Amino acid sequence: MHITKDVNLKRRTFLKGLGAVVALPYLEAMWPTTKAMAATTSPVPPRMAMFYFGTGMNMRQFTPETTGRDYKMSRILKPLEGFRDDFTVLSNTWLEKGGGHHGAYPFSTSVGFGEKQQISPDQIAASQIGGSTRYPSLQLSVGKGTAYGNQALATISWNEQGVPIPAENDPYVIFNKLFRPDAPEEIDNIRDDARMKKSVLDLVRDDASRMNRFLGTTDREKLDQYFTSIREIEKQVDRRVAWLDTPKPQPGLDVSIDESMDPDGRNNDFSYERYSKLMYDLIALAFQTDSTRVISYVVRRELRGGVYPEMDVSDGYHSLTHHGNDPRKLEDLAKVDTIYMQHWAHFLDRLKSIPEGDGNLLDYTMLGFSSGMGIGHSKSRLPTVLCGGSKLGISHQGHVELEENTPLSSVWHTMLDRMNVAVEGQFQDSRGPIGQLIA
Amino acid sequence: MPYPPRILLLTTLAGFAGMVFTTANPSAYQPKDKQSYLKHVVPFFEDNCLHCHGPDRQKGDLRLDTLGLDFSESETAFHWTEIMDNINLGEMPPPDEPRPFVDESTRVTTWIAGELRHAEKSARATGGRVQLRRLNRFEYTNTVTDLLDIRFFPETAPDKILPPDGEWEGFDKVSAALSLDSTLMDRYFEVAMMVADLAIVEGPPETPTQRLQMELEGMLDYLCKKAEIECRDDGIIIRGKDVGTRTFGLNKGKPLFPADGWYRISFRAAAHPGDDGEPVQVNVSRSSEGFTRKITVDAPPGRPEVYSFVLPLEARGGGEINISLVDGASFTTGIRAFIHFDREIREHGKKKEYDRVAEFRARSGMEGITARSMRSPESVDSSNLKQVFIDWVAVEGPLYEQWPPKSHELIFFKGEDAEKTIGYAREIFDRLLPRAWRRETTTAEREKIVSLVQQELNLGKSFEQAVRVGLIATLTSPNFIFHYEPEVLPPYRMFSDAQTGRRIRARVLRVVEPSVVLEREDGMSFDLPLNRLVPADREYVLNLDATDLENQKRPLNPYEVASRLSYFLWGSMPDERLFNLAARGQLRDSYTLRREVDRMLADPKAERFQEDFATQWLRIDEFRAFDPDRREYKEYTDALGEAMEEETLRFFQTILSEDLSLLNFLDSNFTVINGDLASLYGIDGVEGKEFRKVALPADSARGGILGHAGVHLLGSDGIRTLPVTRAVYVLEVLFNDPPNPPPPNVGELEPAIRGEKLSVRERLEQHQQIEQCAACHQRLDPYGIAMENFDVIGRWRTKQNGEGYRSNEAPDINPSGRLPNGVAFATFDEFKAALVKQEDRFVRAFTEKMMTYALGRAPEPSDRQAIDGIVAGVSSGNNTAREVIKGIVTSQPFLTK
Repeated sequence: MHITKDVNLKRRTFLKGLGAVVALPYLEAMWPTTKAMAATTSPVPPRMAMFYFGTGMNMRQFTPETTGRDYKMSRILKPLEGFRDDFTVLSNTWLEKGGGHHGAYPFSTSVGFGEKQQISPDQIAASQIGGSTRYPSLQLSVGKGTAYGNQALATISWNEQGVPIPAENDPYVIFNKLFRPDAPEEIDNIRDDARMKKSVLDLVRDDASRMNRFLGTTDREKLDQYFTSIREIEKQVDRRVAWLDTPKPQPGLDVSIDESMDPDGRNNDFSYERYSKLMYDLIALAFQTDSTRVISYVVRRELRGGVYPEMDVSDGYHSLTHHGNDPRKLEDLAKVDTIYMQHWAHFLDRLKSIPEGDGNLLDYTMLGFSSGMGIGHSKSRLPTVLCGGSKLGISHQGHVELEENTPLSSVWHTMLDRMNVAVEGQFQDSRGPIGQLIA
Repeated sequence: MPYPPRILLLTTLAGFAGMVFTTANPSAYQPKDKQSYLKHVVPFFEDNCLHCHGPDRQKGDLRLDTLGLDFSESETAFHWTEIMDNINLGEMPPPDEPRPFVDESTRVTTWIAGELRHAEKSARATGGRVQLRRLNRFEYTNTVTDLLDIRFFPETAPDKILPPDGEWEGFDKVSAALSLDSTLMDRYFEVAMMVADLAIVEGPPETPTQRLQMELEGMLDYLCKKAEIECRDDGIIIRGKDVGTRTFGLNKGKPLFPADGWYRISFRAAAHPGDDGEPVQVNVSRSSEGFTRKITVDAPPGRPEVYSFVLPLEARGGGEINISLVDGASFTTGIRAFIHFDREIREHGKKKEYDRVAEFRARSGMEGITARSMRSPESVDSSNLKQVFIDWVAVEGPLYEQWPPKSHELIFFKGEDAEKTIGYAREIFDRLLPRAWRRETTTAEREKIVSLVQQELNLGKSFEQAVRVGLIATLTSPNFIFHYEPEVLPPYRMFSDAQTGRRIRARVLRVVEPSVVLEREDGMSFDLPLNRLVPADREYVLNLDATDLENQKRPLNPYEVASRLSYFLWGSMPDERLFNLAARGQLRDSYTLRREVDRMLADPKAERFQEDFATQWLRIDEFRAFDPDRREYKEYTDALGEAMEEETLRFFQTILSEDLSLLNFLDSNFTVINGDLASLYGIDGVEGKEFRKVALPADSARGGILGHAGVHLLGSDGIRTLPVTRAVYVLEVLFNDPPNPPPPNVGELEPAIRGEKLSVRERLEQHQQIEQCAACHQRLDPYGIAMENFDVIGRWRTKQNGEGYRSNEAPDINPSGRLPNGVAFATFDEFKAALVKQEDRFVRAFTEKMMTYALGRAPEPSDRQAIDGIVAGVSSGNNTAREVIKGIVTSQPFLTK
């Protein structure tokens, strides 16, 4: 009965043995292979991550009143004061297909709900630079899966065919994926599974080819997705086997995750603060250990949740956004947004505390966050911030008022540009990388 | 600065999906209504637009007189969308130019909207054919369950592992939205491996079933010290609330729940009802997390009985079993002190020594002794109290229905003693494959799986393990994952090889000159150069019309009919009877089909269909998208919200299972409610959590779907009602007639501003005074305004509420209006009557919705005749859903590929 050992059926009991993951000192020598590999290509690899905060923010309390490097922090951004040289607030960003509650759809691709989607910037980056890490990219979210079709989309990553890529919401699963070492007998099992999988794939490809002959044009298009998928899985299996000889890195931060957490479940013990910081810690760890260089994370889903009992506000986040100028609701909105920024400050702090190259990890990592709407369900005035990347040629400017209705894609374009990722032809509706940000 | 050309076109309009699809052959595109273009649009452009966007000037690079009508071409569609939006927004013609008449501009925008929708539909059109689609995750789970007679642990059932499916036209059954990518394929693998592990076992269970019985007598020293519990020689008696019979320690270090699985919790108990005479209930719970079950203990004192229940539990969390009394008397440890304080306070109170009273109150408060109604166990006669006697508590599990499980016996049908040869594997897949793939399979198909099994055996794997791999291949094959309905193929015939003279019986799969692809009857296919065929055969092949091979509708074969039926009504594979009917070539005539519908609807599996269809059609899962403001709507609780969903679902089930007229959805003299809803609705005599069918008084507003609180909750944002959303619900759900999308950037209605107490109606009317909005809103708003008597949580109101309105200053509700067909109404009742008059429109819409669900594609013009036929049949009968279903399954679109 070994063939399921690699899947997550037993995930709930498995990590117990590893114990609450202890505080390990950051030792570069612990993963010579990946480091060595990185060293041959570029001294320090660039990283990027995209973040979605659903249902906008209280922009009246988000947008700083003054511009320039010495701008005065707004109430919501106040928790980030200590990092003011490490980020830029980008006002006047805009999503042509955004506003309203389908904003997660165009967020990373500019393609509106219901239209044929296209590849998202993180996947463009992953396809070009993902080859040298264990995982080309990671998709995280507060909600599992894709929830495609739903307004509360759970992912902002789309593959080359424009198919949404499911996200993972359980820190425990992510932790295991990144750091749980494969036991020797497990490695044998994985090899055997890989062999078995490939024989099955050969067989089912044959089935599909046979089927294909009996189908009309439109049906064949449908079956093409099957062919593409099994080709992709074959690659993944090969990749998995190839990485077997490289031990997984050990995390350098004192992160302890010993059981599943489900932000969707109704568990009274659930602490969003703990969850939120864990997720950010995991991103920091994934970047630190060079397990991946590209991440997308839906921090807050459109419409769904967004507030937790510990935030102590009067209503659900979405209800709050229908504030009707009620000062209490606006106050509650600002309160919730501020809490999210406190967690974000923790995240920046984590990245900054990790030495990397001739600076810290944040210097080599670009983090872009925004939303599918601004305030009042608008498609303009998005809460957009770009953090980090000082050593990647990003020159932070404090608070910048961009030209009215600057497409959000320009922000992604800037990140791709600084990642040294080539973009073919016109990139979405971008007007090009944002000049002010490029050092 | 000039923008680079935009690649992606067509705006998504607040809540409505505008789509552009590229058709295979754009030049074939025909506008839907060219007449209107010539009659209204061209003159409008000439009068208002061409001086800036015409032959002489092309402001913004836009020229209207040469703008094409091929809406399937994305650039063209984009321009038309921009034109529509700009006219709608009143931005074009520019404000300093003469205004066109509103009805003229409305005709233009309506035409554009209609053409856009037509283009979208044409692009998605499947030519009236059912498209290849994969199983959705519920179909997948049901199919595996029925195929292998497997029982999944709820947390790890396939529908939890497979990601949620996309939706189209409101249903998760539509091919267009059921895409497949590598992540999903990976999950299919994961699930297939899990299924194979569950279905096929080797040796005894990893965790054998254990039973731990915990005697309570004499084990609970610390509990016996409590006043609420009496320890006896044969068990314990619980009188108070908040205490229970913990099983702590009784399991002697063994975990109660050693593995994820099903467990039977049992206990032996008797109860004394206490002076209120109510039956005694206990809460049985797991201390860590997980479950609480309420059990009524009706065994009289002295004659205890065993109570038990079975439920799935995860090993995670460990924990113990706790039994406590529901509504037990209140006791706390501070009880004696409380009695002291209470006596003092009362005595000083009698003497009017209020400062002393205050002092005692303050002290008791400080010490946390505040429960005033508390009773001391000594101070009351315990014979008046509810009490429950418990002898023992037992936990048994993980339970296996049987070992090896049914699925194992079903696969290894010859029993454990059979010889494990490759021949046996052949027999196993001979039985399994046709069921798994829902059709007759060929020897070649079976042999491929068998050779995979052989390969595993050669590697030294056990027989069971090798068969598992075969099962994984079976379940990840496109034959399993897709609803596979091949195109029509030419018949088998004899072909002669000109070189060898050999003759083979085969049919042509494809002609790829200079070769032909032939297929033998056993499924083997091969390429043959055409010049190898004798001249007569070559001529036959070359004369085959390409349309003989594909793109021609054909009747389904009986297996395909069986599958369409079973996935429609059961969300799963056909059962043995359907397979047998298919094998005998039946399932063709409408008598058999109608009889099968009756049988299938009577099967418990039809509940899947009822729930699935009702939830998606009536949008039950969206009822609670907005949580009502808990301060404005104090009556609202989560339980009430759940009850709202339940009402609509049960209402649907009642109409279906009792064969009531579909018109009940528009108006009915009953509904299905529980106590919570009854008090919201002001209906007397319905109490408790149980749902039941309740006859409505003649003057009740609760008849029909529009009387359901959940529908109104959906048509609200948690603070105020959204009449436009409610109107859209009526038009889309009940009439399948979506209104034109609003222009982009329209805001929501301004919230009420303090000091200016306008009702929602008045605010909408203001909005209608904006002439560009008027055209649509005059047609749309009446449907929503008519339901203004229902507040955010669906409660009946006659005055505006919510948004801080207080009853003395709140405006009255005025639901009156006029429908676009000219029928005026003064009240909600009259509005409903006006809807009932449009019963044909509703029955047609219902049929179209169900057709979408059954076929996995939206109805198209070519279905018109079939739908007309079904509607006519249903209307001339009793207007039942059953007749609609029968109409669909005997219709031409359902029975052809």
